Amino acid sequence: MNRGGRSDRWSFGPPLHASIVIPVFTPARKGNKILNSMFTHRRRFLQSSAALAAGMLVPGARDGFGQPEPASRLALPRVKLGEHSVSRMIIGANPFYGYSHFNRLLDQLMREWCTPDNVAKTLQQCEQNGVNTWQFSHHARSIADLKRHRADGGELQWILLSSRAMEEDLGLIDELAKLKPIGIVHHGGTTDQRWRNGEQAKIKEFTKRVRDAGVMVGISTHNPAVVESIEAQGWDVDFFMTCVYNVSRTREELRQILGVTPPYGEVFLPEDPERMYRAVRATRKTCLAFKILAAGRLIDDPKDVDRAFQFAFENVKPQDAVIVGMYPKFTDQVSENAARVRRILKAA
Amino acid sequence: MPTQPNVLPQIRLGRYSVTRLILGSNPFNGYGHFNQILASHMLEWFTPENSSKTLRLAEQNGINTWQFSNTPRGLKDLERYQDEGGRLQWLILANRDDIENTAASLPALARKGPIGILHHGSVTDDRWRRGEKSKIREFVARVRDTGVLAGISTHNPEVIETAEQENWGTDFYMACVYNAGRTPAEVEKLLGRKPPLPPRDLYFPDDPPHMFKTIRQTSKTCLAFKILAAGRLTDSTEQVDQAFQVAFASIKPQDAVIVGMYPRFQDQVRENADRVRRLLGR
Repeated sequence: MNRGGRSDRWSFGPPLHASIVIPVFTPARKGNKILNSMFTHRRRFLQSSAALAAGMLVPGARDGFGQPEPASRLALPRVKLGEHSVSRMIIGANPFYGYSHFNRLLDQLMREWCTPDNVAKTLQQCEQNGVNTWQFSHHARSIADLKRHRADGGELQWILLSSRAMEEDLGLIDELAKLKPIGIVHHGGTTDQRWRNGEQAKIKEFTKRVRDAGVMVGISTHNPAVVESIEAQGWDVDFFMTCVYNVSRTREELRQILGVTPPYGEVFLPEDPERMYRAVRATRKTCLAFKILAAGRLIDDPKDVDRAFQFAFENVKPQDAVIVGMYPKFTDQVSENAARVRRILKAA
Repeated sequence: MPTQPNVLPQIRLGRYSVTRLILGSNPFNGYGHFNQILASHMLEWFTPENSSKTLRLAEQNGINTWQFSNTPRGLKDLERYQDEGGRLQWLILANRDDIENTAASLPALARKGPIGILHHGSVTDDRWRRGEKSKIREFVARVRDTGVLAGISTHNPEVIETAEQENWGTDFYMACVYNAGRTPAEVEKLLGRKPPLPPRDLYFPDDPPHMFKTIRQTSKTCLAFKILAAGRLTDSTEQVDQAFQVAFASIKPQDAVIVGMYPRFQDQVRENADRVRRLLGR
């Protein structure tokens, strides 16, 4: 029962197809009207933020949103990604859309809590804590959440991971590029599957289409050999998303490594991060390391969380960043992780 | 216990008639066997009201026995449910304190009316590892002194095999079909390499055949638990069907299964009861 990197992609409903992408973004394409509307919302957001800073509101304190940080402590260290300045911790989106990487029950629990309101609050809290970029997969709900974030005055930059629809209909890339993501990334599950099937040409074709659309080109993968091969072959790619655990191995590959039938569920091997970090350091391109907490398997002890972050920042290049999914229902994960990153990078 | 409508097929356990599907309680206590987020969700939902409702649902669907650990919540939930007229029989896993202080704890637990008191599986496996078999035997004897059925729970088939060979005097076993109690060092020894993360709560598909074989080899009743690999085999109806089918095909006709349920999104109690009826032909 290895749910793998790809099998859960549609658990939040089908992705947008061309025919329905356009209506969602029509206001943005028309420009002024939506910008004016956003400006109004931006004002509302700033008013809310002022109230928050004054301690008048504690949004969802019971839900782990916590108190906003004082402005003087908001900054997170940043790296350059093309012309963009990106915080070294990027918020991911798996918990928002129920990709728990455990079982259907936890998927459902995550989806239940991650209402549009709670996602909006979490993104807002990221901005308050110095996170300036959000990475998510393409589907109807994520795009709606982005739209809501913008309407609330949020200014997070965003990086888009492809959906199967985008991979099969490259015309969608052009549509989505118009919404100004800072990068479009070929999904890691598909990358690994296509790599395994010898379909590298399809990945290349996707990246070329992204390049032509004028957006930064990314490839995500769980397999360090993919990064190394792409670099050796000199593909035209701007950055990588690199899963530090190779969770796209087949059951048979795992059986050969473990010497027994692998345990149920997704298997996170402890030696994987070192191997991926070697590949990350070997490329001059920026890498965004993800699943540094082994999809929730290293979160029960704050020391394990500290160690995972520390190990990540010690092993990526100074120009790299990490992507971390957060679920601040029970604990204030956003503030905690932001404080953790500040502490680790200050000490470095 | 008076006859319930729609009661599930039953087995004898001492003088009691017990349904072949017993309701477990790990989800009630937040024992999610994954991480703190899942545990917190379980604890949040299992309010005393929802615990009572779940127990009533079990009764309405023909389950007649509940198994739980002696946690601060367990006995309170039982009391509340009984005050509301609930009639499920119950089996209790003694906690570590109970096990260390049997003279005081066991008579007190026995007076509350369980049909059986068990030596907790984690403690069993720890004591086994430390060579403290005599302490487990002594616990069994002390439970029997109270007049209640005495059980041993374990995740390790070797414990049952040894208890049988040496006649530890237990009335029944709770047998985890996955050896999820292995320490990280034991997993490392098994694999000959560092274990996957986290190095505990690993559910190897090769485990159940071993435990099922052990279950068939003892003449005593066994209550097989974690047949769904603590939630890892619940993503499709087919997966759950298959796990139940394998369990009932692999245990003795006198055995039963214990399944923890969390009927928040689906009516797991009814679904599992229907599944057992279908599999057992009633």
